[in-house]
Amino acid sequence: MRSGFSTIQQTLTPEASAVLSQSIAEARRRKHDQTTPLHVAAALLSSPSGYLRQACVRSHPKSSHPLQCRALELCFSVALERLPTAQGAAAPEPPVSNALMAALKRAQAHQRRGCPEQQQQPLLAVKVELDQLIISILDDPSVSRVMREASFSSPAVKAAIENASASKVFSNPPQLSQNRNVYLNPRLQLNDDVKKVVEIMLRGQKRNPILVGDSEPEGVARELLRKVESREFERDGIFKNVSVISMVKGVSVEELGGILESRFRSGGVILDLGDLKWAVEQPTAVAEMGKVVARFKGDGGNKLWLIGTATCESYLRCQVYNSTMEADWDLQALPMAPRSLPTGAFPRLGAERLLSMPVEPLKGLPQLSRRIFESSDPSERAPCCPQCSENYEKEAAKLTTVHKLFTEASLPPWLQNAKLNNSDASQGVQELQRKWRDICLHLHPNFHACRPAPPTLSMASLHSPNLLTPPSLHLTLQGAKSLQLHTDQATHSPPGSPVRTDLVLGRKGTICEDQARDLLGCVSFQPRTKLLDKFASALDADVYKKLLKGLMEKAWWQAEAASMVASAITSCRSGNGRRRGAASRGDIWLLFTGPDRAGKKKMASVIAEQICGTNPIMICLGMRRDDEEQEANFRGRTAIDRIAEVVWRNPFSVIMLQDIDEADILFLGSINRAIERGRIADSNGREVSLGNAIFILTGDWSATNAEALRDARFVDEKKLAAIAGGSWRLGLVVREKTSKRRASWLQDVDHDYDDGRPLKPRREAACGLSLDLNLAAGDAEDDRTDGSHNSSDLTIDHEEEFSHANQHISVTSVPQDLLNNVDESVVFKAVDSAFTRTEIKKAIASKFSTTVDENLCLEIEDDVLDMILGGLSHDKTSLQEWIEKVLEPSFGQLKSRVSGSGAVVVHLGVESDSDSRGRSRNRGDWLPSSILV
Amino acid sequence: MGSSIAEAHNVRVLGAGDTVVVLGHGFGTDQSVWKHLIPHLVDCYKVIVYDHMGAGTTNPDYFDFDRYSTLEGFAYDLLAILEEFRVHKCIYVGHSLSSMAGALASIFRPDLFHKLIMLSASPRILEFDLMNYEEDIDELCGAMESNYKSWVSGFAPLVVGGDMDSVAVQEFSRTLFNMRPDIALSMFRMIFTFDLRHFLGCVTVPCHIIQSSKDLAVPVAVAEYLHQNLGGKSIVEVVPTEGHLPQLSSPELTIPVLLRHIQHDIVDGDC
Repeated sequence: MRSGFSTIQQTLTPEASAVLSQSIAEARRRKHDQTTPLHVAAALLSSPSGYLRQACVRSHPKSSHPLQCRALELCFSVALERLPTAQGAAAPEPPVSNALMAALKRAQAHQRRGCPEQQQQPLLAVKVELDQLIISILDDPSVSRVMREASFSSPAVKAAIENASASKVFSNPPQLSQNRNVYLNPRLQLNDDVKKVVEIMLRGQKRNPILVGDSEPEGVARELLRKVESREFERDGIFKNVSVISMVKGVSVEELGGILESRFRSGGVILDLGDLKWAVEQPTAVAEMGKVVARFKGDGGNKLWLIGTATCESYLRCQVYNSTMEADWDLQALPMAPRSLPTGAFPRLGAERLLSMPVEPLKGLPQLSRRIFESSDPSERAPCCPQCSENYEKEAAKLTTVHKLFTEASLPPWLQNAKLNNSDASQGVQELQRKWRDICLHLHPNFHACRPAPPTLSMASLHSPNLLTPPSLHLTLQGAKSLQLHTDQATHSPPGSPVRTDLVLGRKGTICEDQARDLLGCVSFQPRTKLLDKFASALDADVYKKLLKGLMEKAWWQAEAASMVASAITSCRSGNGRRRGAASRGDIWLLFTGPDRAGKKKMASVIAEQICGTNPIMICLGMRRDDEEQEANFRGRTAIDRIAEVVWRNPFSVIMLQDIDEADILFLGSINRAIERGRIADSNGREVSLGNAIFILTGDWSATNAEALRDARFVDEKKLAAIAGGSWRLGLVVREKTSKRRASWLQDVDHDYDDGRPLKPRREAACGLSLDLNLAAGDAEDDRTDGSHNSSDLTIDHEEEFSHANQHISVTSVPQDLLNNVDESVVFKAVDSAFTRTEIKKAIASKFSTTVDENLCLEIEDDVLDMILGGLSHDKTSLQEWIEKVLEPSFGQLKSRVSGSGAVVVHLGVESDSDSRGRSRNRGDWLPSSILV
Repeated sequence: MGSSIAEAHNVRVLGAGDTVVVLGHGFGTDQSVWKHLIPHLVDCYKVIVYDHMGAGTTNPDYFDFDRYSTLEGFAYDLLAILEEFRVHKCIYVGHSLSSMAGALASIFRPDLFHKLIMLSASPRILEFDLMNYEEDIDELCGAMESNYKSWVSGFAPLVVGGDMDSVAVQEFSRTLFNMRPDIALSMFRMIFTFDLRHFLGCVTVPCHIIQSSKDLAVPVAVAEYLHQNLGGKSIVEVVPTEGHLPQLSSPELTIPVLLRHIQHDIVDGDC
């Protein structure tokens, strides 16, 4: 029964065979194992000007609205979804199913019958034309069932096609803004649209326009009414003495007759129906209105017009609930295409608005610079490249509309039960987002590389919980919100609809928000707050988790601080950060206090990597210079200049201002001003906006118990650096196990635990001291051994110093204003050496026991652990990475040697420095890259 | 809708020829600024001239202050006109502001442009001579707000580089004065703040940079900067003229140069 595709193709005309190959491609895409009549029907429908579509439009008794066809398309796509997918790899060309083959045969037979002169010819010479193919496809029971679901009847459609092939006259309803010039000035377009509406109103029949669209159909209606009221049309001799009555202003339909009666004496009336969604639930009002229209139609001399707007959604629902409304009201639906530019048209620029680079404002032109900033809209940062976001939107649109279909009560039960076992659409949308984000990352790494902000972030702010609160002024949030709304709106505009690029200002945002709200209300009948909250928390949590995981990996000894940092950043980015003034801001300021320099640095680099995809920019303000490479470039320039330059170059960077406690008062003043105003002024007086930069201010200000330091309870960074800085290498030595030395690692750990417990309360005490940074810590002392320069630049809080001067201590505390200004301040505790040693030891030991032998003992000396820790805090790799890369192979090597002999202890210790063999340490690589065995 | 865009921009299609030349005028002028050039083109080219939105000859109602607060608005308008007239390939001659709008449009749709001829173009007016101009601009803006008429009479000779009585200055003041003051101010600010430097690399269409040897708004160094930074082939020619509108003030020198660049493409050896 099955014959090859090429044989079938020979029996079809080019158009018909194109349709067939299209449907085969569709079947392949959906991984179906057969090509069925449903595929062909869907393919026939999908071409916008196809025969089938037009026939359907004409066949429909009540409405000729093209939206009805959308419903049909959706029914087909749902039906296709339900088809079984092929197991394993899909066939390159899913074979034609028996049903389809039968349909093709039918078509062939019809074709022969249709042309008497062909009856004598061999079968292969008869070419099936497209309309014959359609007719036989419509005869297929599976197709006609789907048609019925969408309230189309296949016999009627068939009849329409047969009529049409006799007289190929198609009448399309006029459409607004269709096939438009995408670059057109919106104002010009508005003019054109208004002209079209007027044309309709001047017709004899179907003269009451309803503007259907998802992107501000009100605009056109408003403009038209404005022109009518300002009598601009009277020059052309139309709409003379016409007055406008707005239904929105609380005129009830019952009173309407009387009002109209009185107005008609003076001239015509245009009745502004507003958004038609009110008509959905009020069948009586709709009937009343129908009567009014009918009453004035005859004798009024066509002096009554209705004009209204609707979203596709509400218009369809109107039709469902009030099936005769379109005819009774004499309506003409005018679909409107979205009017913004498709971003896909400019692939090379990505979704970024071209001129949104922050421009240095000119002195004396403050308004101007503000304007520029308003136009630099972060909303254009689509999470994916235009291509992928388009695809995503297509799928999202499908998903939500399908979902909507399921919630519609009028559908048959089999449709409602099919496939969608996940109960809410949001989950699906979310999954889609993730899917496309991943695909995009995969396919277009370049796009993401040059994009300043990572997808995760924009998604986070997208779903901020503030979505339902009154419109905020936060720019990032605002922009992101509109983006989000657009994805919602896209569910009703044609697939591949352009991303809006022009939502910046608050007012516009609110309109959309309203739209989205009632849209969401329509889509799913569950409380919308719940829906959105779920969205928000889920996505926030996603970003948060990822960030926290990264932070914990690199700086595991600062668990508390890590979670604080992660939550601070997530909440700031989603718009819950501190709002400074009324301005909308994207910059984040974090203050890291406490002694752990290495931890702070690690966290900064994790943040930079995850949020901006770059390395953090370190600017040292104090005497210490950790990064030698920086100094040469910046000689002779102030720190502020450097910050300004960095921000100017890339407004999406992470900037770490190290040792801000050692900075001078001038600098602190500038920083405070910068935090307040969102822009920074360099020494030439030029101002740069901070954009979306994340600033991390680090300082010590801590007060650690000197005793604790002496006990080496906390890690002394100086010492560590000194240890790790020297040349050292590790070696594994296998020794005979002696009963005397029972320092197996297990016992070591226990021992450490014992020590750890009594330590705990004291550790907390120390923590309490450093938390309360503004109080002078009683008997505290600077933890650094070389604290001399630290106390020498006590520029702030002199009072406190005085008050404690007699206690012989030196205290620097965090300046109050700085503390108040930053978004979040995070305390880094001093690193507890016992804890870190234990952790390192545990990690190494577990690796050892898995790779080598569970029964063997591993000895690690404390100073070795210190060295590893020191190395870790300066190196870029994390502990886990180092263990995997360096230790594991050495353990592997070791295993081959010790296998068999039971009573040995493996000792991990320092090899002599003089051993120079194979020493290859790169700069910046602090941990040994190989270990002697 | 067909005519509305043509109508709004006063688009005129002149001459006959297979190659389309599109002329875009700069700030404060209108299509009449090309009056010396057009007669030389109509015999061999199809010439499309238009007024950009905001020019004195366009309907101020169409000037969307938001859309035209960046160069993009003007670039889109240009593309809209090209689409409307079904131009698939053109030589675009832009002056000042429009040359940059053309460059931007060519980034969006490189397929539509055979080459760009940039007369007195600058990717960022202020940057090159910051110290001198800042005060001038402030002053100019202030003057503009207070008294448009006197501002025009001060600005025109400054830009054109002649004295008040010269024909070119008279002509420029006339077109400048046609603009509605608030629109002129908005555009003026846009001009002095846009910054295309980062996007020059994206321009891949061949560019011919033509430049007055003495231009208050655009120093000669700018031409070199463009040449260095444009993404595609480019060539620079400095004409020994004065002022920002050489095609108006010294047509006898400028027009032959423009014609030469319209007629000939850049040979690979040149750049």
